[in-house]
Amino acid sequence: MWNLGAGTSSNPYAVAHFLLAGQVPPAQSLFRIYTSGRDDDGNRLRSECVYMISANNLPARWWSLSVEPSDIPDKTSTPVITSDQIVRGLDGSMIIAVARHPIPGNWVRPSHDGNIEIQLLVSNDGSSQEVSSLILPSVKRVGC
Amino acid sequence: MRNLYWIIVAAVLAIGVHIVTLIFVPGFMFERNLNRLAADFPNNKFFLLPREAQRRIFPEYPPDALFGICRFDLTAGPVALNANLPDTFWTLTVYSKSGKTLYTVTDQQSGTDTFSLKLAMAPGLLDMFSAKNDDDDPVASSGWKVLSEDARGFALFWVPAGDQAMRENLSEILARSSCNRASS
Repeated sequence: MWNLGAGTSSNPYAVAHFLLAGQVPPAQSLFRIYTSGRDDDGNRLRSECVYMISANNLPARWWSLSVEPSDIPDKTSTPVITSDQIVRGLDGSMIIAVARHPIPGNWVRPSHDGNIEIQLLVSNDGSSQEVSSLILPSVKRVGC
Repeated sequence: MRNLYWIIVAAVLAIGVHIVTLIFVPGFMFERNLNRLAADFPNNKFFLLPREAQRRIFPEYPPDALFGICRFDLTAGPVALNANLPDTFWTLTVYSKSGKTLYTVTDQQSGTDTFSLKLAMAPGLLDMFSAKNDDDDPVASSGWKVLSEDARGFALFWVPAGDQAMRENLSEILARSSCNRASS
Protein backbone atom coordinates (compact mmCIF):
# COMPACT_ATOMS: atom_id res chain seq x y z
CA MET A 1 0.00 0.00 0.00
CA TRP A 2 3.04 2.27 -0.03
CA ASN A 3 3.56 4.75 -2.84
CA LEU A 4 6.89 6.20 -3.80
CA GLY A 5 5.62 9.69 -3.11
CA ALA A 6 7.24 11.86 -5.72
CA GLY A 7 10.64 10.74 -4.60
CA THR A 8 12.30 10.92 -7.94
CA SER A 9 13.79 14.31 -8.58
CA SER A 10 14.36 13.55 -12.25
CA ASN A 11 10.63 13.39 -12.80
CA PRO A 12 9.36 16.89 -13.67
CA TYR A 13 5.90 16.09 -12.31
CA ALA A 14 7.44 15.03 -8.99
CA VAL A 15 9.54 18.19 -8.83
CA ALA A 16 6.50 20.34 -9.67
CA HIS A 17 4.52 18.60 -6.94
CA PHE A 18 6.97 19.85 -4.33
CA LEU A 19 7.75 23.25 -5.79
CA LEU A 20 4.14 24.30 -6.29
CA ALA A 21 3.57 23.66 -2.60
CA GLY A 22 6.61 25.82 -1.79
CA GLN A 23 8.63 22.79 -0.70
CA VAL A 24 12.04 21.54 -1.71
CA PRO A 25 12.10 18.23 -3.60
CA PRO A 26 14.42 15.70 -1.96
CA ALA A 27 17.57 14.90 -3.90
CA GLN A 28 16.98 11.54 -5.52
CA SER A 29 20.37 10.21 -4.54
CA LEU A 30 19.83 11.09 -0.86
CA PHE A 31 16.22 10.45 0.11
CA ARG A 32 13.10 8.57 -0.84
CA ILE A 33 9.67 9.50 0.41
CA TYR A 34 7.00 6.83 0.67
CA THR A 35 3.41 7.54 1.63
CA SER A 36 0.52 5.32 2.56
CA GLY A 37 -3.08 6.23 3.28
CA ARG A 38 -4.29 2.63 3.68
CA ASP A 39 -3.55 -0.33 5.89
CA ASP A 40 -2.50 -3.76 4.65
CA ASP A 41 -6.14 -4.74 4.12
CA GLY A 42 -6.77 -1.72 1.92
CA ASN A 43 -8.82 0.28 4.43
CA ARG A 44 -8.30 4.01 4.73
CA LEU A 45 -6.20 5.02 7.72
CA ARG A 46 -8.30 6.84 10.33
CA SER A 47 -7.05 8.79 13.32
CA GLU A 48 -9.56 7.16 15.69
CA CYS A 49 -8.17 3.68 14.97
CA VAL A 50 -5.10 1.99 16.41
CA TYR A 51 -2.47 0.72 13.98
CA MET A 52 0.69 -1.27 14.43
CA ILE A 53 3.42 -0.52 11.95
CA SER A 54 6.06 -3.22 11.95
CA ALA A 55 9.24 -3.80 10.05
CA ASN A 56 12.44 -5.68 10.25
CA ASN A 57 15.38 -3.38 10.41
CA LEU A 58 15.05 -0.90 7.55
CA PRO A 59 18.25 -1.01 5.50
CA ALA A 60 18.82 2.72 5.68
CA ARG A 61 21.23 4.80 7.68
CA TRP A 62 18.47 7.14 8.79
CA TRP A 63 14.71 7.24 8.40
CA SER A 64 11.69 8.99 9.85
CA LEU A 65 8.06 8.01 10.00
CA SER A 66 5.43 10.71 10.36
CA VAL A 67 1.65 10.76 10.57
CA GLU A 68 -0.28 13.59 9.03
CA PRO A 69 -3.82 14.34 7.88
CA SER A 70 -4.45 13.29 4.30
CA ASP A 71 -7.10 15.93 3.62
CA ILE A 72 -5.42 19.14 4.75
CA PRO A 73 -1.79 20.19 4.68
CA ASP A 74 -0.27 19.96 8.14
CA LYS A 75 2.53 22.46 8.51
CA THR A 76 2.53 22.95 12.22
CA SER A 77 2.90 19.83 14.31
CA THR A 78 3.54 16.64 12.39
CA PRO A 79 4.01 13.76 14.84
CA VAL A 80 7.14 11.89 13.89
CA ILE A 81 9.49 9.16 15.06
CA THR A 82 12.97 8.66 13.65
CA SER A 83 15.57 5.92 13.54
CA ASP A 84 17.47 7.81 16.26
CA GLN A 85 14.52 7.54 18.65
CA ILE A 86 13.14 4.09 17.88
CA VAL A 87 13.34 1.27 20.41
CA ARG A 88 14.09 -1.97 18.60
CA GLY A 89 13.48 -5.57 19.56
CA LEU A 90 16.40 -7.90 20.27
CA ASP A 91 16.25 -9.18 16.70
CA GLY A 92 16.36 -5.64 15.30
CA SER A 93 12.67 -5.60 14.46
CA MET A 94 10.55 -2.60 15.32
CA ILE A 95 6.92 -1.94 16.04
CA ILE A 96 5.40 1.52 16.07
CA ALA A 97 1.90 2.15 17.37
CA VAL A 98 -0.23 4.88 15.83
CA ALA A 99 -3.05 5.76 18.20
CA ARG A 100 -4.82 8.68 19.86
CA HIS A 101 -4.11 7.29 23.33
CA PRO A 102 -0.70 6.36 24.79
CA ILE A 103 0.63 2.89 24.01
CA PRO A 104 3.80 1.44 25.57
CA GLY A 105 6.82 1.30 23.30
CA ASN A 106 7.17 3.32 20.14
CA TRP A 107 4.09 5.47 19.82
CA VAL A 108 3.00 8.20 17.41
CA ARG A 109 -0.16 10.19 18.11
CA PRO A 110 -2.06 11.66 15.12
CA SER A 111 -2.55 15.36 15.71
CA HIS A 112 -5.72 15.69 13.63
CA ASP A 113 -9.07 13.90 13.38
CA GLY A 114 -10.17 12.09 10.25
CA ASN A 115 -8.21 10.40 7.48
CA ILE A 116 -4.50 10.19 8.05
CA GLU A 117 -1.48 9.35 5.97
CA ILE A 118 1.80 7.78 6.98
CA GLN A 119 4.96 9.14 5.43
CA LEU A 120 8.27 7.34 5.48
CA LEU A 121 11.39 9.32 4.66
CA VAL A 122 14.35 7.01 4.01
CA SER A 123 17.92 8.09 3.48
CA ASN A 124 19.54 6.54 0.48
CA ASP A 125 23.19 7.32 0.90
CA GLY A 126 24.90 4.39 -0.67
CA SER A 127 24.64 2.11 2.32
CA SER A 128 21.02 1.31 1.63
CA GLN A 129 19.68 -1.31 -0.72
CA GLU A 130 18.19 -0.64 -4.12
CA VAL A 131 14.78 0.95 -3.85
CA SER A 132 13.03 -2.01 -5.44
CA SER A 133 14.40 -4.38 -2.79
CA LEU A 134 13.50 -2.19 0.17
CA ILE A 135 10.92 -4.04 2.26
CA LEU A 136 8.54 -1.41 3.56
CA PRO A 137 6.76 -1.70 6.91
CA SER A 138 3.42 -3.43 7.23
CA VAL A 139 0.49 -1.43 8.59
CA LYS A 140 -2.09 -3.47 10.50
CA ARG A 141 -5.27 -2.15 12.07
CA VAL A 142 -5.63 -3.34 15.65
CA GLY A 143 -8.94 -1.70 16.46
CA CYS A 144 -11.13 1.36 16.13
CA MET B 1 -11.68 21.01 -42.07
CA ARG B 2 -12.40 24.15 -40.09
CA ASN B 3 -13.13 22.06 -37.00
CA LEU B 4 -9.87 20.14 -37.42
CA TYR B 5 -7.96 23.43 -37.50
CA TRP B 6 -9.42 24.52 -34.19
CA ILE B 7 -8.86 21.11 -32.64
CA ILE B 8 -5.18 21.33 -33.57
CA VAL B 9 -4.95 24.91 -32.26
CA ALA B 10 -6.57 23.83 -28.98
CA ALA B 11 -4.25 20.84 -28.67
CA VAL B 12 -1.13 22.94 -29.30
CA LEU B 13 -2.36 25.54 -26.83
CA ALA B 14 -3.06 22.88 -24.21
CA ILE B 15 0.39 21.33 -24.64
CA GLY B 16 1.99 24.78 -24.39
CA VAL B 17 0.11 25.63 -21.20
CA HIS B 18 0.97 22.22 -19.76
CA ILE B 19 4.68 22.64 -20.46
CA VAL B 20 4.74 26.17 -19.05
CA THR B 21 2.87 25.03 -15.95
CA LEU B 22 5.17 22.09 -15.47
CA ILE B 23 8.53 23.71 -16.15
CA PHE B 24 8.31 27.42 -15.38
CA VAL B 25 5.51 27.99 -12.88
CA PRO B 26 6.79 25.62 -10.13
CA GLY B 27 10.23 27.24 -10.06
CA PHE B 28 8.73 30.71 -10.00
CA MET B 29 6.30 29.79 -7.23
CA PHE B 30 9.03 28.15 -5.19
CA GLU B 31 11.40 31.08 -5.44
CA ARG B 32 8.63 33.47 -4.44
CA ASN B 33 7.84 31.28 -1.46
CA LEU B 34 11.49 31.03 -0.42
CA ASN B 35 11.89 34.80 -0.72
CA ARG B 36 8.91 35.30 1.55
CA LEU B 37 9.97 32.77 4.17
CA ALA B 38 13.61 33.80 4.30
CA ALA B 39 13.21 37.45 3.41
CA ASP B 40 15.58 38.63 6.15
CA PHE B 41 18.55 36.72 4.79
CA PRO B 42 20.59 38.17 1.95
CA ASN B 43 22.19 36.26 -0.90
CA ASN B 44 25.68 34.80 -0.51
CA LYS B 45 25.36 34.54 3.24
CA PHE B 46 25.03 31.39 5.27
CA PHE B 47 22.18 31.09 7.77
CA LEU B 48 20.31 28.51 9.76
CA LEU B 49 16.75 28.23 8.59
CA PRO B 50 14.28 29.43 11.24
CA ARG B 51 11.91 26.75 12.54
CA GLU B 52 8.81 28.31 11.02
CA ALA B 53 10.32 28.46 7.55
CA GLN B 54 11.68 24.96 8.04
CA ARG B 55 8.23 23.58 8.82
CA ARG B 56 6.82 25.13 5.68
CA ILE B 57 9.57 24.26 3.25
CA PHE B 58 10.43 20.82 4.65
CA PRO B 59 7.25 19.52 6.27
CA GLU B 60 8.26 15.92 5.65
CA TYR B 61 11.40 16.22 7.81
CA PRO B 62 11.32 15.95 11.62
CA PRO B 63 10.99 19.37 13.28
CA ASP B 64 14.21 18.91 15.26
CA ALA B 65 16.27 18.45 12.12
CA LEU B 66 18.60 21.30 11.30
CA PHE B 67 18.81 23.11 7.97
CA GLY B 68 21.53 25.53 6.93
CA ILE B 69 21.14 27.48 3.71
CA CYS B 70 23.27 29.61 1.46
CA ARG B 71 21.23 31.36 -1.20
CA PHE B 72 23.78 32.11 -3.85
CA ASP B 73 23.82 34.58 -6.68
CA LEU B 74 26.63 34.04 -9.17
CA THR B 75 25.95 37.01 -11.42
CA ALA B 76 28.81 38.99 -9.83
CA GLY B 77 31.19 36.02 -9.64
CA PRO B 78 31.75 32.68 -7.91
CA VAL B 79 30.74 32.00 -4.34
CA ALA B 80 32.72 29.98 -1.77
CA LEU B 81 30.83 27.84 0.70
CA ASN B 82 32.94 27.01 3.74
CA ALA B 83 31.30 24.16 5.57
CA ASN B 84 31.73 23.37 9.23
CA LEU B 85 29.70 20.30 10.07
CA PRO B 86 29.29 18.05 13.09
CA ASP B 87 30.80 14.59 13.20
CA THR B 88 27.48 12.92 12.47
CA PHE B 89 25.19 12.16 9.56
CA TRP B 90 24.67 15.16 7.30
CA THR B 91 23.87 15.88 3.69
CA LEU B 92 24.59 18.78 1.38
CA THR B 93 22.48 19.41 -1.69
CA VAL B 94 22.97 22.25 -4.15
CA TYR B 95 19.81 23.28 -5.99
CA SER B 96 19.22 25.67 -8.84
CA LYS B 97 16.62 28.36 -8.17
CA SER B 98 14.03 26.20 -9.90
CA GLY B 99 14.63 23.27 -7.54
CA LYS B 100 16.83 21.18 -9.82
CA THR B 101 19.46 19.16 -7.95
CA LEU B 102 22.96 20.16 -9.06
CA TYR B 103 25.14 18.39 -6.52
CA THR B 104 24.85 16.17 -3.47
CA VAL B 105 27.33 14.89 -0.91
CA THR B 106 27.04 13.20 2.48
CA ASP B 107 29.43 12.88 5.41
CA GLN B 108 30.36 9.36 4.31
CA GLN B 109 31.12 10.43 0.76
CA SER B 110 33.07 13.53 1.73
CA GLY B 111 35.30 11.92 4.34
CA THR B 112 35.60 15.25 6.15
CA ASP B 113 33.35 17.58 8.08
CA THR B 114 35.08 20.81 7.12
CA PHE B 115 35.57 21.73 3.50
CA SER B 116 35.18 24.50 0.98
CA LEU B 117 32.99 24.27 -2.07
CA LYS B 118 33.18 26.74 -4.90
CA LEU B 119 29.98 27.60 -6.72
CA ALA B 120 30.46 29.11 -10.15
CA MET B 121 28.60 29.69 -13.37
CA ALA B 122 28.98 26.93 -15.93
CA PRO B 123 31.12 28.22 -18.78
CA GLY B 124 29.40 29.24 -21.98
CA LEU B 125 30.67 28.13 -25.37
CA LEU B 126 32.93 31.17 -25.74
CA ASP B 127 34.28 30.80 -22.21
CA MET B 128 35.43 27.29 -23.00
CA PHE B 129 37.84 28.58 -25.60
CA SER B 130 39.23 31.26 -23.32
CA ALA B 131 39.17 29.22 -20.13
CA LYS B 132 41.26 30.44 -17.23
CA ASN B 133 43.44 27.94 -15.46
CA ASP B 134 41.97 26.95 -12.10
CA ASP B 135 45.32 25.71 -10.78
CA ASP B 136 45.99 28.99 -8.99
CA ASP B 137 42.72 28.79 -7.09
CA PRO B 138 43.12 26.58 -4.00
CA VAL B 139 39.38 25.84 -3.74
CA ALA B 140 38.78 25.06 -7.39
CA SER B 141 41.98 23.09 -7.80
CA SER B 142 41.01 20.89 -4.85
CA GLY B 143 38.13 19.63 -6.98
CA TRP B 144 35.28 20.87 -4.78
CA LYS B 145 33.52 22.91 -7.40
CA VAL B 146 29.93 23.03 -8.58
CA LEU B 147 29.09 24.62 -11.91
CA SER B 148 25.59 25.97 -12.31
CA GLU B 149 23.86 27.01 -15.50
CA ASP B 150 21.56 29.11 -13.37
CA ALA B 151 23.01 32.20 -11.70
CA ARG B 152 20.86 31.73 -8.64
CA GLY B 153 20.14 28.79 -6.40
CA PHE B 154 20.80 27.56 -2.92
CA ALA B 155 23.03 25.13 -1.08
CA LEU B 156 21.29 23.22 1.66
CA PHE B 157 22.83 21.43 4.63
CA TRP B 158 20.66 18.98 6.52
CA VAL B 159 21.61 17.49 9.88
CA PRO B 160 19.19 15.24 11.80
CA ALA B 161 18.87 15.89 15.52
CA GLY B 162 17.21 13.63 18.06
CA ASP B 163 15.87 16.38 20.30
CA GLN B 164 15.95 20.09 21.05
CA ALA B 165 19.15 19.96 23.13
CA MET B 166 20.99 18.07 20.42
CA ARG B 167 19.66 20.52 17.87
CA GLU B 168 21.14 23.45 19.78
CA ASN B 169 24.54 21.77 20.00
CA LEU B 170 24.53 20.98 16.30
CA SER B 171 23.38 24.53 15.51
CA GLU B 172 26.46 25.96 17.21
CA ILE B 173 28.74 23.88 15.02
CA LEU B 174 26.87 24.39 11.75
CA ALA B 175 26.57 28.15 12.40
CA ARG B 176 30.36 28.41 11.94
CA SER B 177 29.88 27.72 8.24
CA SER B 178 30.05 30.64 5.88
CA CYS B 179 29.20 31.60 2.37
CA ASN B 180 30.63 34.57 0.54
CA ARG B 181 31.95 35.91 -2.73
CA ALA B 182 35.06 34.09 -3.90
CA SER B 183 37.82 35.26 -6.13
CA SER B 184 37.05 34.39 -9.73
